[in-house]
Amino acid sequence: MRWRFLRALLALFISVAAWAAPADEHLLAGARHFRAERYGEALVEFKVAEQLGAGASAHYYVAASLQKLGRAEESVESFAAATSAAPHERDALLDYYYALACYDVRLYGRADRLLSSVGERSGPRIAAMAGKVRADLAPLLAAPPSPANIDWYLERSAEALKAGRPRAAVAYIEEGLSLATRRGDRYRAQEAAARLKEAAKALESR
Amino acid sequence: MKRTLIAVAGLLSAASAFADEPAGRNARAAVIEALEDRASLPAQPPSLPDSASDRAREVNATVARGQKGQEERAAAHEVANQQAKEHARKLQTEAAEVDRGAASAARKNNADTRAATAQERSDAAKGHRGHDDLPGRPGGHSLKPN
Repeated sequence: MRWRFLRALLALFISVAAWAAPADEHLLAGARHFRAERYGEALVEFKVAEQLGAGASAHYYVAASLQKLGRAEESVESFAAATSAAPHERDALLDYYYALACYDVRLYGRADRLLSSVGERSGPRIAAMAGKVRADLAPLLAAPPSPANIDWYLERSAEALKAGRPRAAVAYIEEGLSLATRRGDRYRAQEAAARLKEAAKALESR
Repeated sequence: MKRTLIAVAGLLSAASAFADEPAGRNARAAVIEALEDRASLPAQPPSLPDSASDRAREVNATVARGQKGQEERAAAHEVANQQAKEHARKLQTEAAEVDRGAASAARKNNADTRAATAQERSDAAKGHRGHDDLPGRPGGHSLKPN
């Protein structure tokens, strides 16, 4: 009786242990593709791992692959979703990729904020790159923005919303608002603040 | 009964921990290493965008193209359409590949589980036969506890 019970338990152990392994296989395959600069294949592997329950970290890897593929706005959307769903999985390297995605879609303020904390938490190579990008951004962030700059961000937010990227839309409005508050006349600042409130509420109710 | 339940719960949690660690940790470490390896600087210098200057650039380009402007716009339109179609096709392929990968992993898991269950049944049957052979237990299907 005891032997039979132990064998049954062993069989159960093996089947439960085997269940979680495939997600890891896809993570490893994704890592190999990413290293070989086959970002499309890496993206597919990370998405499969995500579907097989690889955990919240896979969302970040999907977002990083999108950044490498030049699909920056989708990457920003994915990073923003990942950070709100699993903030504990964030680290300096993932924040660096998030910052690059923001940079690519000209969310320079957000990119700078992300990069500001990367240096203290990362290795020397990533810290040096973060410092270089911040140095390039500094004059741009210090210059007074024109009304046309603010218009662009608010237009972009509407387009992102239409494209089904509400988090990217919020990021564009935040950027526009931040630029507007740097101007003496606070050009469209009130409108941006109202739109931000609305967009944030819509995101919460999703 | 209570001890059995505790043993099963312990074994299940041990099995899931065994599945996650260290294999899960290794997989994540491999991804992080790859990401660190391929981290790079932005390709373009930063510049604040504005729609007017984007439009002005477009107009200048068209004027520079002179008489051929219209034809080139049409050609550019065609290229943009093709790129959009190509992008949509890529997205569809990507989604199909993700579905295929997940489905094949699920099939593999089911096969593993079926194999484990069959093994368990075979072991149980062997155990049963062992009891049938015991002296003083004819029939071997007594419901009395041992």
